[in-house]
Amino acid sequence: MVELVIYFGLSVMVLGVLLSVLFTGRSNFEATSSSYLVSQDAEAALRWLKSDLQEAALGSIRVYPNPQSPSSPPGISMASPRNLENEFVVSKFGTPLWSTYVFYTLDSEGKLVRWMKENDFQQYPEASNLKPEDTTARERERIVLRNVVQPGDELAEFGILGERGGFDFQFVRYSDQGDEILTSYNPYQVTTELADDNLEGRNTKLVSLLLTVAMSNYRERNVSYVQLPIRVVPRH
Amino acid sequence: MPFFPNKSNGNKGMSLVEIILAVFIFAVATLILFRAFTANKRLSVQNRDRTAAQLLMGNMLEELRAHRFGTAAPKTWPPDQEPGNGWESGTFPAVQSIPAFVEGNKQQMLFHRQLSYEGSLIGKGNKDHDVVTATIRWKDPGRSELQQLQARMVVRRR
Repeated sequence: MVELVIYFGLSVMVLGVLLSVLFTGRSNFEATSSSYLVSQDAEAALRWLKSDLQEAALGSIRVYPNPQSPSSPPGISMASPRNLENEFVVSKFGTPLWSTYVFYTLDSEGKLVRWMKENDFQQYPEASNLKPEDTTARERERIVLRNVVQPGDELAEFGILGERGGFDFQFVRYSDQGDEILTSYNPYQVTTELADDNLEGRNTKLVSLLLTVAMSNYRERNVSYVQLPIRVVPRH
Repeated sequence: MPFFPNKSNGNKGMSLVEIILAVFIFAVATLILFRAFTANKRLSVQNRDRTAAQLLMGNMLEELRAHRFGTAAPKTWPPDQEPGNGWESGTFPAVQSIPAFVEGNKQQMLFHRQLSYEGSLIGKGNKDHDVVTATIRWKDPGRSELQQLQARMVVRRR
């Protein structure tokens, strides 16, 4: 009887240790996964995005979808002084020589694609009239990030994501009381194209991006994702 | 004290001493595995949190760059306040969280933000420059003191 009790005790102990290993392993996996989400793919994509946005002309940034192209996939476009060889081109006066449009487009498979289109700018870096869904226009296309959450997908704590999905780009304005107002109209559009009634406040040069990235199994039962806030001031 | 004795071929099975020895070896091996797990988890979290802190610091510096010198501070700027006990229960803008879920479980990523300046930047002084210090602090697993990332810069009226 005593032996049975001892053997039973030992079995319970071994089982307990095995369960602890299981739980520790799971917790370890979760920490590693969240670290991967933040610091691997996303970090590289953010370097591209930040660099392009900092070099862009603020008034040339256009957010998609927008009232002129409501069926466009989420994304942005901007005038860039980078040519197709990715060289920063300056004029003889040392100012940026706008030569391309850079697009970031979230495709239907959750891939964030960076592509360019050469353009003959007449003096000013105006916003692009190209449609992001026009794949024939794309030059130097590359995937900068995979598994960006799609519009309409549902995530814990955030509910169903809106029309921009996991690529939620907006311009920052402040009210006179210092409250932040986010809008998808750039400052140029606010002052020239829109009545300002609904956008009371002042423009800033700040742009905001909420990037929601998921692990590859995010459509399945257990969701893994991270939401990264990015703020950038275009320098031109 | 035989364990699972096999009477047909005369084997006595495992004795209690052997069982205890086996369990002891198993325990040592598990302990080593635990330590490896714990170290890996700590390093992963440290790596993740430092990357996130750098991201938030970059955001704060960009917000400063966007600010018009001599105008009121936006409400999204954090106060000039060091983290006290229980700072994790604070709210934005002093405390910013980065939402992360893994396999449906929430990962805690909380950062204390602090912004200090002399005052001209927000219109309280008459100098044409201000010295701004931005600080991000966060809790590191396995360490009692908070981790800190700090940037100090001179902002000039343009």
